[in-house]
Amino acid sequence: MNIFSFIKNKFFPTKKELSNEELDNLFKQKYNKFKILINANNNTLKTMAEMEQAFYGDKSYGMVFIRTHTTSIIVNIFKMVKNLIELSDGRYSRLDEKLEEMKDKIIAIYEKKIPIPSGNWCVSIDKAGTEPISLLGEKMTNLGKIKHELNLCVSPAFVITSAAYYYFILSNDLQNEINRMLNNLDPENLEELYKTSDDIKKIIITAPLPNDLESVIYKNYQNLEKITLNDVLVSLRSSATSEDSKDASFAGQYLTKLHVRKDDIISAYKEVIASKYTPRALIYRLKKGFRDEDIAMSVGCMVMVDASVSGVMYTIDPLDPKSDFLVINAAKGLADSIVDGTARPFVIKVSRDNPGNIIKEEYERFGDFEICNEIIKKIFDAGMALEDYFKKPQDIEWSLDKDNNITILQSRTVQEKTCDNSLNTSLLPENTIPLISGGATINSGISFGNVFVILEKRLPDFFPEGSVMVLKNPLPEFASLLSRASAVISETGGMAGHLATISREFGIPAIFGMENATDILKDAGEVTVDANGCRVYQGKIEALLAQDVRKKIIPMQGSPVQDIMREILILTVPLSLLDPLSPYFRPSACKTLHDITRFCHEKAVEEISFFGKDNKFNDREAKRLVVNGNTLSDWWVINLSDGFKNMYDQVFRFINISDIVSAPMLSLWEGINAEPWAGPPPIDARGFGSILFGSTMNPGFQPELASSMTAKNYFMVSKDYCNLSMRLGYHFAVVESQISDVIHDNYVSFSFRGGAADERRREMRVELISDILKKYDFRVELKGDSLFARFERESGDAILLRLKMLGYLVIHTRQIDMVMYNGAMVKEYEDKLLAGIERLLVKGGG
Amino acid sequence: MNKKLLTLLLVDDEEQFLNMLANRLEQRGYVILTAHSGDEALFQIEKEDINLIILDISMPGRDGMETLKAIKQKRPDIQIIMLTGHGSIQKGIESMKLGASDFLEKPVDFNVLLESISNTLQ
Repeated sequence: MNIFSFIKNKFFPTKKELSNEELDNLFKQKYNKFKILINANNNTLKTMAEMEQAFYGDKSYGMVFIRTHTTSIIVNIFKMVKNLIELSDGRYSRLDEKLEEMKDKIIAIYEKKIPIPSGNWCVSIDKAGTEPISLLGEKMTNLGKIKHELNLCVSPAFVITSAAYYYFILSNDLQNEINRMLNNLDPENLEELYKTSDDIKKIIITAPLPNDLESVIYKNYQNLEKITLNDVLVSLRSSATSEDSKDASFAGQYLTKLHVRKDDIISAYKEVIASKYTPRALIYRLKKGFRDEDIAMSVGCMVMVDASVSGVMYTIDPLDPKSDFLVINAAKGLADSIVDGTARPFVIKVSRDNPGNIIKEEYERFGDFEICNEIIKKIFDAGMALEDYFKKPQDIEWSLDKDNNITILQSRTVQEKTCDNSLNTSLLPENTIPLISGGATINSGISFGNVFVILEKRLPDFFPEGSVMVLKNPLPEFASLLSRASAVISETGGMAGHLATISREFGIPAIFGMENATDILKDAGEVTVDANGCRVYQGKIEALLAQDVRKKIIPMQGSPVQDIMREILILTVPLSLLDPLSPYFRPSACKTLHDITRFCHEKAVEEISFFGKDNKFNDREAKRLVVNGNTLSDWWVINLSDGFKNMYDQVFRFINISDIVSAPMLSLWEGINAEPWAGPPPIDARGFGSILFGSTMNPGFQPELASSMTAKNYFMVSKDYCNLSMRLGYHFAVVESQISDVIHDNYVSFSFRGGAADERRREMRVELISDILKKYDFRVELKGDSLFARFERESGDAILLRLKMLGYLVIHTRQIDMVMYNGAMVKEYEDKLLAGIERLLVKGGG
Repeated sequence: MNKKLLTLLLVDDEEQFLNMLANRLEQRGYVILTAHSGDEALFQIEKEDINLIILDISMPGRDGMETLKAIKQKRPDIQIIMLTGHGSIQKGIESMKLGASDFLEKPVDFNVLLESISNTLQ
């Protein structure tokens, strides 16, 4: 050993010299890891896209969805990290810590618990205004404030608090049992839903109330007796707590027990608690994004009002919030017939600017029912006082006693969601006569479906998705079916009913008070419901449906589950590792799971493509592709085993296309090289706008990075196999294919993702590509702007033909996302592409 | 490697699920063995030549995680895919650290399972 090599070996030790055969084996192992990594990369991106789609979509998802998707992403990134570390002989081992750190953060978000409130088990309404809302719930807190700070009458009452609720549930160890039953519940299966609901209600109702809690409740009841009379009747009303319910009304979700006698208070209390698990409440929470633990049941125990007239008042018109009117719904006796929809209330509108302007609904049933203007003014004043106090439009339940004194039973903010902002009219189609008309618009909109009549009060055992629900009475129970219905029609009820509120909240067209609807529609089959005009037509009437201008409603807006999803997505999706050439492209700079994914992918390609060079192993070195005498700078080829002609001298840094014997690669290349790319399409002003301001889902793509991102594309080939990893412009594409004598094992797969334009345009591009692929019998999955396609178990010729068309597609769909602004444009490009593919396949004899 | 010779061991205490899965995988040309418990699975790996195990986590007695550990100690070369209806992020990562090749949650899309099997066995 001479002195130079001694020094070199001492200070810069090289790896043990390996024979070519050993190097080849090593490469094979590494390539296997590379493939696992690329698969995991695809799975990760697919799952991320599914989560994003769910987040931005109008369908509800639950914690199980978040858990399974997050787990899948983390497991797949674990695979990527592990394989990259092995591929790189430990070079990127810091990624391990990074992933661990992010996993812990995500688990902490997923498992964040709501603290159990501490405080008294019972609180008198006189002190309710000063206690936290998490103890008393919104309903009773508001009543406490009203009693305390406004000159309005509220019934004597006390609250059995959420602390009492937890004491009851935990001392009986009910929560674990409830969780177990809920975890196994498939809410789409109605039979199972009803059974689980019954089972949970039963264990609550049969559980004993702790003695100390019972005596505190009775002591508080005695205090009510002292200020009223002995054995006074009370009502028990839920006042459920929820962390943040600004976008959820929870209207009619829970039970109210009226006329409860002293001896029945405890059982009534348990019934109200158990109503947390009615089918409608379970479905509502699920659809609106609340977890079981987000809700604790506080219960108000209020002295009954001897009411002559009761009602529900909205200080703005929920059906026309921009109008000037306050709306009063009134009925004889108590308000329960209004909220459960069994009565059609008398509707009075009062101008907010000019309270003398009173519009009373003409309705013959109310012949002997008269509320004089003086009393209307009194009700109106109470409503305005409440709106002034809470500084937001209010939804108020009130009663008048025999002496016309007004008592407030409930006041809450009118949910924006439960207002119909689109008081629409619809044009009648010519020569079409409705099957039935009448009643009142409860939520506008036009939709169609098969009639499903429900005559009984009982919930039906099945309810086909998309049906038009036709009811005798719009009972709140039916809310559990509402999200499956395309429209709701009822013979009774008004806009102040709970089911009415929920139908507005979910954006479902509704007509209530449509007399004889169950009889007239029972055999109608498919109908079109025009809730704007309160008419129902036979069959599907496209001319009417085209006038439906309902806005998309995201039911989970503002919910705890949506918050958890958002927090997890923030740690998952944004991409900050943009430029592989930047010094910040390193493990420590990874801020999200997507960053780790991106890093692993980039470095894995690097490891594989530099293996030959790093190990001075010419056979596995990336070679520049030479075509027609031109050396291409952006196309490189790595020979995995027998992809090059035997006579090719591995010492060369270049490979001529004619020296390649990989059949899949040659077909793919034929498509790539068939026709020159027409260049970027002309972009209109809107295209630029969407590039500059869009891409929230894809912040990684910035025009200035175009140059580094158009860099290298690698073919990895053997005789029967080809993998192409491309980064063209702003999108990533991977084509992989294998052909062999066993047809069973043949496949071609294609994944495609990204783009620079906004989300919608990128989606339109993958939809276009998907259409074309389907014409060639690919099985295609679309997830947001990502596409995954596969064609398999077919002859080698069939596979090669598809490789040609894929080659053509990846080149000629470059940047066309920029101009995907309407259907016509998509069609134009689709036709162009299909024609090009035809030319190619005819020329090639495919 | 010819796919037809590959042997898969399915381990799950739910008989119905086990049979359904075994049927579907047999149709795809795999040789299928089944076990109803972790102990049975450990016994099987001693006497059979198994390429891949699909292992449920929640089983009475020795659960899936314990079984995974025990199998990896005896036969680190056997690939194991965890398939569970009671997953969590922790269990997912823990399984991978113990040497599982993949972690899938029930109900699993059959195509996803097939893809995982063929990726694992490549």
